[in-house]
Amino acid sequence: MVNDKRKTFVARDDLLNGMSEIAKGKGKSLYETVNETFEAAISLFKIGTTPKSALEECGRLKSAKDSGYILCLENLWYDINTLAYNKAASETVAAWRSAGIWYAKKHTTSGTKDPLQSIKKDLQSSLWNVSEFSMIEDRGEVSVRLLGPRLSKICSELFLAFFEGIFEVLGYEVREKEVMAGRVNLIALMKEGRSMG
Amino acid sequence: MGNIEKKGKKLVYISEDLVNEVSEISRSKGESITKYIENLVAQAIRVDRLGTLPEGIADILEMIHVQRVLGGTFVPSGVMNSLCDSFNNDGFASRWYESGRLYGRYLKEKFKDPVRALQLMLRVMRWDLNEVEARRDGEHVVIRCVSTSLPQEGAEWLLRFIEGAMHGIGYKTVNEECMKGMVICSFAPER
Repeated sequence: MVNDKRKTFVARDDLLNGMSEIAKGKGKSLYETVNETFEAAISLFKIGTTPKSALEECGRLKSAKDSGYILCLENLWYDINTLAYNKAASETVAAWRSAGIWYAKKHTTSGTKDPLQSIKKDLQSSLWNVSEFSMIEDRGEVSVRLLGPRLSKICSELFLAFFEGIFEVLGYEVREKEVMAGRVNLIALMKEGRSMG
Repeated sequence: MGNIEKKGKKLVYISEDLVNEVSEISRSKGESITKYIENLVAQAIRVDRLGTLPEGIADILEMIHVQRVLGGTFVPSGVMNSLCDSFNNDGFASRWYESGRLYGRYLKEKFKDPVRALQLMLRVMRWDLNEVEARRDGEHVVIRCVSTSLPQEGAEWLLRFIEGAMHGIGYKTVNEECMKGMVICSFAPER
C-alpha cells in the first residue's frame, strides 16, 4: 500500500503514450498503471531479478506457449516416452515426427521471412534442459547438434524424429544422422528446386 | 491525471513512496533515475504486449524457478496428447501421481500457501488449461481445471498429478471427477 503523496517524473512522451494506451485498455488511470509498473519493478528487485530478465523469461514462456509446449518433469516425460516406445516404437516415433511437422508448419505459415532462423531461435529458448543445441545453415546445408547427458538412446531417437518432421516441411532432405544416448547429430540438405532465401 | 508536456518528454505523477524506492534501486545499480524509469516504462509496455500483467510477473518467475529446481522441461502438447490416446492404461497414471507428490512436497516446504502456489504453477505449466481454480471451502480445497483441448486420458493424468501434489502438500482426497476437458476434485487436510 502506498501513501497518497505524489511526485512527478519526466519520461519520453512516446513511452508515456504507450502507457496511456495500456491504462485505457485496462480501464485504469495512467497514475494507477505507472504505479503498478513501479510496484512490480520493486517486487522483482526484492526477489533478486530485474525487469529485463523477467521480460526475457516471460517472452520465453509466451513463445513456448505459442509453439504448443507445456511444462512437465523431465524424468516423467522421458519415462512416458520410453514406455510408449517400448510398447509401440513406430507409433511413438510417428507422434514426434508429427509434432515436428506441426511445429515447422506453424513457423512457415507465420509470415516470417526465414522460418529456419525462427525455429532455431524458438528451440534455443525452449530446450533449456539440454546442455548444447546448435543449428547452423550454410549454403543450403543445415547441421543440427544436440547434446543432453540425461537423454536416453530412445529419447534421442524421438528428438531425431522431431527434427526430421521439421526438415520435411522446410524442404530439406536428411542426409546424415547420428543418434546415441545423450546426443543427436543431423545434416540436412535443401532439396533441389527450393530457394535458399 | 494531469501531464505537463515538454518537447519530446512528459511529466507524469507517481506515488512519492514508490519514486523513493525506485530511486534507491537505481542508485544501487549506478543508473540515473530518469534512465532507470524510462527503461521500466519501456519494459512494462513490452510485458503488456506479451499479455502478462506486471503484478503477475514475480509469481510467474517464482514458478519458473520451481520448474528449474525440480527438472521441468518443455514438451510438445501434441505428442503428450497422442501418447495419452495410445497408452493410457500402461502405468502412466501412477507416474503422474508420483511426479505430483514431488511438486507438492517441494511447494509445502517452499511456500507459505502451497495450495495457491499449486494453482499458480498449474497456470504457468499447463497453458492448455483455459481455467485453473483452487478454491477454499471451509477446511476443504476444491480444484477445478477446464480445457477445451484436454482428452479424457489427459484429464486422468492431470487428475493424478493434482492428487499427488495435494497429498504431498498434506491433504487427502474427498472427491474426484474427471471427464474430457475437465477435472474437479476436492481435498481435506490430513489429520
